[in-house]
Amino acid sequence: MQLNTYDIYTMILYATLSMVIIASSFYSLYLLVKSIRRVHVTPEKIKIYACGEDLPVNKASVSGLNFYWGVVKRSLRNLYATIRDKMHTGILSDWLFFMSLWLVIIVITLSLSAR
Amino acid sequence: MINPIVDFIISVLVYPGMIFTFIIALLTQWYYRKAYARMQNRVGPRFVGPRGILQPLADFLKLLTKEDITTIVAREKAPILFLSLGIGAIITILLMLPFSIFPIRAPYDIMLCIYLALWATLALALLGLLTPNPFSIVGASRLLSLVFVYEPLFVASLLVPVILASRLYNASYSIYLTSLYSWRLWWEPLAVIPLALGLFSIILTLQCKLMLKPFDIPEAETEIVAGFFTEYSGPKLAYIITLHDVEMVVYTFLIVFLFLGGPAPFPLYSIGGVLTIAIKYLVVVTILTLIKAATARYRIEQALSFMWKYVAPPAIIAVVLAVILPI
Repeated sequence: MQLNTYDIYTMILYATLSMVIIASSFYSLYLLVKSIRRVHVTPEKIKIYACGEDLPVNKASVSGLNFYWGVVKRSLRNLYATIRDKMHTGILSDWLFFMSLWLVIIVITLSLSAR
Repeated sequence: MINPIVDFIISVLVYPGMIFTFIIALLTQWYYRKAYARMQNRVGPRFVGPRGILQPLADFLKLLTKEDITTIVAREKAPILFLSLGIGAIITILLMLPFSIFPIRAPYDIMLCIYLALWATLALALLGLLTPNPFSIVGASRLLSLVFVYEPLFVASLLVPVILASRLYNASYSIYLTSLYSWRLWWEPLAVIPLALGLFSIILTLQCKLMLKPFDIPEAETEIVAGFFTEYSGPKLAYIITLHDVEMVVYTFLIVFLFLGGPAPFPLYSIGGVLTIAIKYLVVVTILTLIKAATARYRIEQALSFMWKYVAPPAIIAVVLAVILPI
């Protein structure tokens, strides 16, 4: 067995090549099977599955934006709740403090990166 | 060694690449189906081959040769493309382990491993987006919510032996070198604590990553039909199941080599070494199956809460200890 030590860039090339070879093999297998096995398309088969209900396409989809925010809100629900309860109390000075806090962070980050 | 190019092609396509991983994936599927069934007082796969060992292959061939139905306005070939890339990326990780005939290694290749491991998650999440179905979208949304939690914890747990081996034995943050030295970590009194914490958290994170009970929330059978693969049947479903099984094989091998010392105490290329790897591999798969059989499905917020409360602290403490301990 040979021992191959590369720099990380060469290794990435090998890994990408390996990934593409395996992916091409699986994809080719699919195309081969698809060319042999014909599909008999009927209107029933290609309907959206909704447990027996008729569901139009526009009602079955959600916008990509909702998809992103739904995930973020669900994962970080506790963080949102904390920020809402602690910071957004409806009192103007709290709001000002909250906004200023972010400004302070931005100013510190910019000043550090400018050094 | 015949020729580096031929060696590389053989290692990618045959051993430990595509064919070897596919066979091990089928055997692993048979083993955990059989073990899961016995734990539930059922018989499990029984009729195809001796003791039903060929049942996963029969299932794969049956699904592969069924009609490939694409729902109205859904993408026809994009799911297969993403699934193929996911399978390719995951299998490529095996080339970094010592049992590869053409092992590829480089300093800091752990980053490449983490990147490749993300492809499978990405492929599964995209499957939900590629069909206009409420159940698929809910499933994909749940999967991505879990990804936010389990992916950083998986990476943190994976880093523990790599950091320890790099600090103690100059392993250069390489998976290959860490695999060679990992058994020695268990003999370092201070390294044992982060390693044990990392092992605990990676097993629970793997349970979540593989969507086994109690974390099968993205597919949540009967509740949201089949989650993100509700609309997939035939060859596409065959590839989804293959990707899942290949993930189980590769991540279990990662645990065996990075945490459990691989073939130690025997040399790699010996009967004892191969048997030791097989036993450690089966122990990890049995633990995953046992958790699956012993638990019921969490709701999504229960799963997120469980991960933050009981899996995140050990993983984070393990990484911090691995970095700061005076070893």
